[in-house]
Amino acid sequence: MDTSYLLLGIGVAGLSSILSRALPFIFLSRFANAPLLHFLGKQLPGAILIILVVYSLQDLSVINSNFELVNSANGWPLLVASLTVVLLHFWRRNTLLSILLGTGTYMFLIQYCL
Amino acid sequence: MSSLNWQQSFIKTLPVMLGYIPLGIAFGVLSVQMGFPWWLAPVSSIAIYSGASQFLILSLFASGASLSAIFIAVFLLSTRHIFYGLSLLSRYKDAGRKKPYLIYALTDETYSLLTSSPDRDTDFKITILNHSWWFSGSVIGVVIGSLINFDSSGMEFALTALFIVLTIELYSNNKALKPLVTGLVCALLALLFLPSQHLLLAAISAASIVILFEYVRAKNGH
Repeated sequence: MDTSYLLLGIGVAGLSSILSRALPFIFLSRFANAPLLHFLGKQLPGAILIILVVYSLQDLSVINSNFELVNSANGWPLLVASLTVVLLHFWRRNTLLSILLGTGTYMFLIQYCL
Repeated sequence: MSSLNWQQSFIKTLPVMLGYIPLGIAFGVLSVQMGFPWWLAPVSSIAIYSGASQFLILSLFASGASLSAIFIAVFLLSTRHIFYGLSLLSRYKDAGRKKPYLIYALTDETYSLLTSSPDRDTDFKITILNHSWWFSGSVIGVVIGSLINFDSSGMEFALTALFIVLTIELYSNNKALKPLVTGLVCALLALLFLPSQHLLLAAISAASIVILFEYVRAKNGH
């Protein structure tokens, strides 16, 4: 594999990645106090967070077309682990605990219960 | 005070660490297994620092894609960052000399951690810790890769759990249900009607447009 191709490729990808992150700051910094951007700053994070939740659970399929429980990493263990996180978090409100126990539950379920 | 800040930041980034290190390891192992030189994974973890884009360039490199194709593909995959920046403009306004790095190293997970807490003092520390977890993961992946005999399958769920917890935290802080409903509806519609590689960008664009409309309506006194 040609080293200069790989290095240039990483450079170009890095540039592209930086550009996507910096564009609003380059062109819109003057408007940082604009009411519209304040509104977006208040409303967007919630919308984006729940979209990220759906995105990371997009392969969830608990029941197949024959109404049987799906025994796979994206089947019932994913639902059980997600519900564990939700319930645990409403109960104890401890971020680290919710995530560690939720992840532990998921790892246990897919490694030992499938 | 400052070391207390580091300690708090460290604790806040632990869930991201649980997600980034295994994912970084996966990236490092894959990169070496695909026959790329050892430095490719760590260098791209510094220079690109985006999980999705880094996995993408491995396949682009493997197929010998042109530099312009790489540029466009990575940009399209990263367009969602534009929306993150939009909602962080005023938060980063007074960040001073740390601002370029805060922008450079903005990821899904860092954005989520920062926006779910009003405390700005730890923004930089959280950002650099997350970056270091990702870098460490890819280095570990390259160095010990296949030698790991611990079954870490399922550990990537930590990122899902993180997003769930942060959503609940954000809601209990601001009690704003509307953005959540907007986001959920957009995400489910995108999930139903679009191929998964477009889900994130399409849903975020749609939600932004809806929120923009709400702003215009509110401004016109409806």
